[in-house]
Formats: sequence, structure tokens, C-alpha cells
Amino acid sequence: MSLDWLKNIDPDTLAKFAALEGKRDDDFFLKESLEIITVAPDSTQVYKFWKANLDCLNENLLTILEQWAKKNLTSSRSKKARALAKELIFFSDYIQEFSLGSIAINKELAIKGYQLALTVLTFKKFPQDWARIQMNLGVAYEWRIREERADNLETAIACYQEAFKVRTFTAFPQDWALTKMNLGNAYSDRIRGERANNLESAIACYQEALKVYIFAAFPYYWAMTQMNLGNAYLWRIRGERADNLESAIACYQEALKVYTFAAFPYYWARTQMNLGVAYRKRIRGERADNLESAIACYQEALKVRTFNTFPKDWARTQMNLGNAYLERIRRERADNLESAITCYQEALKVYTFDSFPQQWAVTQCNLAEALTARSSLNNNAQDLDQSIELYQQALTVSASGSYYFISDQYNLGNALARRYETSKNPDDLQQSLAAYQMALDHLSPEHYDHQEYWQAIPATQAILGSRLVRDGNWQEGLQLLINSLNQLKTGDSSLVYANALYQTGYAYELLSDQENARLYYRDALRLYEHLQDLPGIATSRESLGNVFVSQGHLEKGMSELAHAREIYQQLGKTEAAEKVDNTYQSVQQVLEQVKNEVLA
Amino acid sequence: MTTADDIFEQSANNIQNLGLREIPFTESPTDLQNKTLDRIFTGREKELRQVFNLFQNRERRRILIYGRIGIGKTAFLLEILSVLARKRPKMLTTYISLPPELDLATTALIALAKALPDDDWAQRQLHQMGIPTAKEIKERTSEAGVSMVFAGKFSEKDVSATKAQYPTVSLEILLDRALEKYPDGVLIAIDDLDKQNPRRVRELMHDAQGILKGKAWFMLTGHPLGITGDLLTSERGLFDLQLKLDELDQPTTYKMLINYLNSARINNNCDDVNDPRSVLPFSKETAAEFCRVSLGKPRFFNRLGNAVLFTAANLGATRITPEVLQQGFKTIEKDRKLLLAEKVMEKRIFELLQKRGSLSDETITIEELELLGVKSYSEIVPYLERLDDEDFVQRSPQLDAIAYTPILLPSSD
Repeated sequence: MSLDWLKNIDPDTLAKFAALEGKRDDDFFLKESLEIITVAPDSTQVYKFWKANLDCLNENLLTILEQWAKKNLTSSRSKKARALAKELIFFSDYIQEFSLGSIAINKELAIKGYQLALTVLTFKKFPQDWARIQMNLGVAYEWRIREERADNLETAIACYQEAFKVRTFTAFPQDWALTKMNLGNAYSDRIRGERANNLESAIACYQEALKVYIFAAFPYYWAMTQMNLGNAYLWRIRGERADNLESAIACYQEALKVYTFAAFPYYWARTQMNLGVAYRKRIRGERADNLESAIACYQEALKVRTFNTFPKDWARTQMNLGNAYLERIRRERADNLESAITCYQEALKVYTFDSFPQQWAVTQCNLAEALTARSSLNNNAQDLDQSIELYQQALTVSASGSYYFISDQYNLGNALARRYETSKNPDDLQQSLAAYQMALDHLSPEHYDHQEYWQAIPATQAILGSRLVRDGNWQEGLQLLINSLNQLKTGDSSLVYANALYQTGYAYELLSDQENARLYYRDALRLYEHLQDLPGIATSRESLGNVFVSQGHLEKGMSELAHAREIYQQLGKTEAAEKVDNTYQSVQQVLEQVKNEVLA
Repeated sequence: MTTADDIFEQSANNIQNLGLREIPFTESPTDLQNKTLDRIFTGREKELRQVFNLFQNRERRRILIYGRIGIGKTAFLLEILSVLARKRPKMLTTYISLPPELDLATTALIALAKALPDDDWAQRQLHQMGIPTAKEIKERTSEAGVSMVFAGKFSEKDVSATKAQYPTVSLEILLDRALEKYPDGVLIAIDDLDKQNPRRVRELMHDAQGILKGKAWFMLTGHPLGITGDLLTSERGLFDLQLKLDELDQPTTYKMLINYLNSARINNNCDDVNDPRSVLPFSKETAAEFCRVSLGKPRFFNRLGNAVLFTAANLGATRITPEVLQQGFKTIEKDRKLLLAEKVMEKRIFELLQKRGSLSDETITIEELELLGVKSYSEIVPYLERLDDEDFVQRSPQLDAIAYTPILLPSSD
């Protein structure tokens, strides 16, 4: 059948015609698609056809495709077979980019198409076609939805590496560079193998690609590679973290030379957003300045990423902006918290429970964190109640054992523990313990590449331990505290270790083991002094003073209490200072009584 | 050619050259025969009086003996049991070392059941816990007339006993049965509580309040400060007597040396402090120096004694002259160095202690802790305790800090 007449028909009419036509036989839809692909210069026409016949893009088409291939691609000698195989490549290229219907099936169709084309276009006879298929097959596997993602990524990597057999630097530099970039992307996302190694491989691939993609010759690809390289540096595990973040920032800034607001608004906005993330994480420079830069970047990104044009990107940027406001150092804390809360509430307009359950849950938790912070700023019980509710809602979505699940449980534990401080409701304490326990039970070495969770294990143990001790389960609680100390002593955070030492001292004090209480308070105090952490110094001196007093070392106790009182006053903690002063005064009275008795 | 038999003979001769049948020093008083213990046990008159005063009353009592490791708690306990076995035949006394992982009720049950080899019900209890009984029964019969039984020490290599299902109830039943036979009462001595983690001991004590206040007398040995510090406050009233054993003074140590040597000397049994023959093969001077170095710590005294007499025997000496004594100390010093060579952390801490003269949680600095590769003093306390256990250091009497000073031998550099 000649399809020349199709060229003159308005594509919309064609699409309607095709839809009305209905299925004449099983492979009619497939044949029609291939014929449109042959005559049309790009994907526009076939996309219209597919859009009109979305119901044909189904599981069944996979079988039809296979049967069709059996019939038509039996011999690579036939010219027709070769031509059909090439059409099949286009079919796969288009279908894997098609954003309607079932994405999972579209990807399967693409993979199937490439695999069938490979039966004709072999490495020996058609090396260039073969290599092109290998690369595109790699892309299809990289974004495949069905099957294990880890396995798919392995297959993608294998495909790209196959492509290099033909696509060498000397013979096909551009193809080689593009494949390098795709391989870099696959390594960035790789699940198998050591994450640190994978990121190194990704960086190496991008840097290779840049040998071809030079700014002067391929500005667009150069910028894209810079951005990918920036992303890899942002997550890099090896090397000095501070240096990696500087590299990431530099890469993004390079990318912005090409990705200008005027020329590539979408990519410009995306780079702004990534730059914002890097600034928020930055170690070098003033933290306050970095957060200001991050906020500025996110606000720039929002100029393009509007609610109407890119709702998902808009929501994601709102969320990041919220995070930056939550951490902001400059300006009034109360104002920043308000801004953060507004951002999260905006994000939730897109991130609804029904459409984006995961993102909804994460945003809920961020909002909860902001509300918790606001509640401690203005002692607002309502905010705390709401944040607890938000955490609990988020937990209905978080997959048990996932990063977010652990984080939510941990934060819920904190919020409930804080509410217990004022409510004194045993249910709050009970639930708080249960949440900590849940977080703890699910933490495992696989979470170790998340620095904060590595710290969180012992820190959670320490909190849970001290809670258990306060709750009367001292044996179990103290054991947890001691476990946490064993892990924290080799950790990076001296402050977390000092806190755990203090909590252990407190546990011993509750157990009337004054000697060990004193030992651990002294350890905590020594470390707090080293860190010049005034609140820590004050509380440990206060506790040490109390222990001395209960052991009968009254003068030593008074000296510690006086120190604590002074620091509390310096910190503006009048209530705490008064409490210490009361103890101080009563000890002084006892001491005078003792002295008088001796004199008498 | 020298045969193994010859070497054995030579070895025995070397000891005999010193005028002794054997080396009388031992670190483990449970290895001693009652008679030997009675001969070498020295001092503690005040403490013994305090304990025996309680036994003049029918009211049951609970006694806690505490003090540092190696201060002589076990010997003191065994001496009391030995005296009671002679003076109170109608009282059943039984001794047990607290096995790891067992609670006090089960431990007491085992001790008591072992002391009642003729009681089928008691033996069945032991059997159910997987504890072999026949051998002990045999030993018990050979010790006819003395109602004191050593239930012995459990070590990890032994088949570990499983917890009795209802130890408190079983113990009560067994006590009733024992009291029918021993109308003067039952005394259960549980030793080595201080070998356990102080926290665990506190828990054990807490859980055992019921049995401790029950129908038997109890004597327990405990941690120097750990448990007692707590018990004195939270479990006040649980013990009728809390007896602290301190280091022996110099004259008592000297007397103890006389008693030890006397128990093994071949030719004379002179025990007159003023007579130089009482300390043979030591001279008065070397005996005094030996006692001074031993710091009045019975276990350290025994360790030193062993080393000095071995060195003397190896040298083929007949008297402990100042030179021989010095050689003995050097031997110990060499052994100590060898021991420390394998323990990196202990070695570092000991060296710092030697340099500083003392270490305490009150005065140690972050820099010093960093030198030791730690962040907190609590991390090094277990090492200090181990060094204390090996007599490298001793805890200073300072009450408001955990402070240690090194134990240096006269031969130390």
C-alpha cells in the first residue's frame, strides 16, 4: 500500500481517521505506526496517531510485535528486512520517549523493538546500527519500569559498554562522547556495587565526554555534561566533601554560561535549583551566606518553574526553598519559619496524597519540622500537636524500613518527647519510646552512607536509653546508652558524644550510682568545655554539683553550682539560673549549720 | 644425662635449700586446706569480732564483705566458715562462687543442694539443672563431721548450669529440709560478686531481696565502691553488717609472712615476731622490705612471695638476702613488662601514670586523653581496673574522684 497520500493530509485528520478506522486485524496498529514513522520526518505524526489509539499500546502489542518480526525479519539478507529493522529502531526510539499511555509498557515495547532489530542488524554486518541500538537499548533499560531497577541498570551499563566496541574515540568521537555521558548517568544511578566507586566511574565518564564536548564546538552538550558532572560531585563520597561541593558549584556555574534564562529557560531553572542545593550543603564559606545564595537560586528557578507550566518542578523547588528558610541564619527566625511553612504548604498543593504519596509524605514531615521549631520558639502547643499529627500521617505512606520511615519515626519520637515535657502524659512518653524503638529497629549498616543516620543510630540509642532510664527500665536503658557511647566514641561528632556521656551520667544518677554519674558528668563537661558549648557546660556543671552535694562534698558541689548559675545567667536562661541558685542557697545553709555544729 | 625425675628432684631440693617443704604462697585461698588456711590467716581481729558477735544471736543476719579485689575477702569468708564449721556443728555452712549468668536464688539453691548430698530431693534439683552430683557426694563423705562444703567455682569451660524454674520456691523448700537437720541454721556464703559487672550485681541484689530476707544466713562479698555505694543508699537495711576490708598494716603483714613461712618450714616453727628465725629464709630486714613493697594487699603479697621464692630457688640461694630479694623484684618487673607488652592500651596508660604520678577523672585533660587515643576518662576506667587487678596500679583513697596511682617496685626504672 502506498502511503504517499498521507503526506498531504492534515495530521489531525489523519489521527482521527486512524482512530475511527478501528482495528482491521491484529497487527494493523503496528503496521500503521511503522508506516507513519517511515514517511513522517519526526515523531509528531506518530505521536498523534498513538494518542488517538492509546488503547492499542497494551500488553498484547508486545506479542504482536514479536509475531510481526518473526514473519518479516527472518533473513537479514533481504533488503526489506533491513529496512524494516531500521524502522523498528525509530519505533523504539519514539515509543520510549512517548509520555502517554502506560509508560511501563512503552519502555517494554522499546526494549522489545531494539532486541528484534538486533536480530537483523548484527555487529558483524551493520556495526554502526548495532552500536546505535546498543546505546538506545541501554537508555531504555536505564528508564525501564518493570523488573528490578538494580538489574536494569546493570543491563544498561552492559549495553553502553557493548556500544564502545564500535563507537571509539577515534572513529566516532561524538557518538563515543554521547555514550560516555549515558554510561556516566547509569553509573550515577547504579544500585549494585560500592556507591563510592560508582560515583567515581560516573565522574570519569563525564570527564571523558568533555574531551569531545568542548565549549566552542558543542556548547549544549558541554553544558549538559557540566551539569551531570556537578550532580556527581554533589553526591560524591570519595575525596574531601568540602572540595567536592566546591567542584559541584563550579560545574553548575559553568553550565549557566550556556544555559541562560533567555536561551534555555528550562535548563537554566534546573541548574539554578541544583546550584541552590549545592549552596545549602556547602561547607566552605560562611554558612549564613551560603544559605542566602541557596535561597536566591531557588527564587530564580521559580521564575521559570511556575505552578502553571511545571507544577512538579515548582513544587520541588518550593520544598527546597522551604528547607533553606528552615535553616536560614540571617533575618528573624520567626519570619524564616513562616516563610518555610508557606513554602511547604505551597508544595502540598501539587504534592497531594493521591498523586505523589512519597513527596506528600516528605513535605508533610518537613512542614512538621518547621512547626516543631515554631512551637519551641513561641511555646505553641497547637503547632506541636499538628506536627505530631503530620508525622503520623506521613508514616502511613513511608515504606517500613526506608530512609524516610526511619527519619519520620525518629522525628516523631523527638516531637512526642518534647510534648511529654509539658503534657507529662504517659501516653506521649510511651509513643515516643515506641517511635524511637521503631527507628532503631530499622536502622542497619546500609544506612551508613547517610552521614546523619550513621550518627542517628547511636544518638537514637542514647535518647531512647535515657528515656528508658527515666521511665524506670534502667537496665535496658543504660545498656543502650553504653552501646551508643561505644559507637559514638569513634564518630565525628564530639557534641553528640558529649550529650550521650551526659545522658549516661544522668542515668547513673537516677540509679543512685553517684560515682559513675560523677565520672560521666565529668567526661561530658570536659568535652563540652573543649567544644566551648556553653549550654552543655552549664547543665553538666549543674548535675556534677548536685552529685557532689548528695555525696556530701558540699563545697565542691557549691563551686560547680556557682559556675552553672553564672553560665545560665550569661545565656539568659533565668529560670535555670534561679533553680541552680535555690539549690546553691540551701546547700550553703546546710554547710553553715554543719560549721556551727562543729564550733558548738 | 639429666632425666625429668632428676629435674624434679633438683627443683624440690632448691626449695628445701631455703628450709621450706613447698612455696606457701597462693593467690587462691579456695585451693587451701582448712587447716592451712587457719594457720596462715592473719589479722582482721576487729572484723572477725564484728561478724562473730552477730552469731551469738539466733536472729538471722545478712553480712556484706566488701573491699578491693585482692584484699582478702575470700580468705576472710572462708576463715569464718572454717571457724563456724568447728564451733557450730549443728549449723550448715556452704560456700559458692557466683556463676556467671545465674541469679542469686539459683546460686544459693545450688550451694545448698550441694551441701545436702544425702537429700534426694536436693540432688534431683541439681540433676535438673544439669549439675553432676556424684563426685561431690563422695568428697562430702570423706569429709565426715565437717558440715562445710565447697561448691567450687564455675568457669566458662564447665557445663553451665541452667536456671532453676522456680529458684525462690525451691530454695525455700530446701531450706526447710536443711533446717530440720541443722537446727542452728544455714549459712550460705556467696563469693565473687565483685567479679561481675557492678550494674548486674545491683540488679541481682534488687531481685534477691526476698531470699536475702528469708530463712538463711547470707554472707556476700562485693565490689569495693560500685555496689556498696549504691547499696548503702538504695538498699539500706538489706544488710545487717557491711564490713569493709582494708589493706593490712605493716606489723600485721609481717605477722602474716611469719604465718605463711611457718606453714611450710621444715625445721622450726618459731612464730615469735622478735625472733629473726620466725621469718627464715628471709632476714628481718628483707622480710620488712618485702612487707613494705607488698602494700598490705594479700593477693599482691602472695604474688610477690611466689616470685621471690622461685627466684631464690632458681638461684640456688639458702637465704633471702637483699640481693636475692632485689633479683625477685626484678623477675616480677620483667614479667610485668612482658605482660604489658601485649596490651597496648594498658601499657600506654601505665606509662602515662608513671610520668604523671596519678590519673584521675578530676584532673585529666583532653590532651592527655587524646594521647591515649580516647575521648573520655570512662573509656580508660576498665583498663585501669584491669591494671589494678594485675597489681600495676592501685586506686587512691580520694573519695570525690576515680584516681589511680602506679604500684612501683623498688627495682623499677
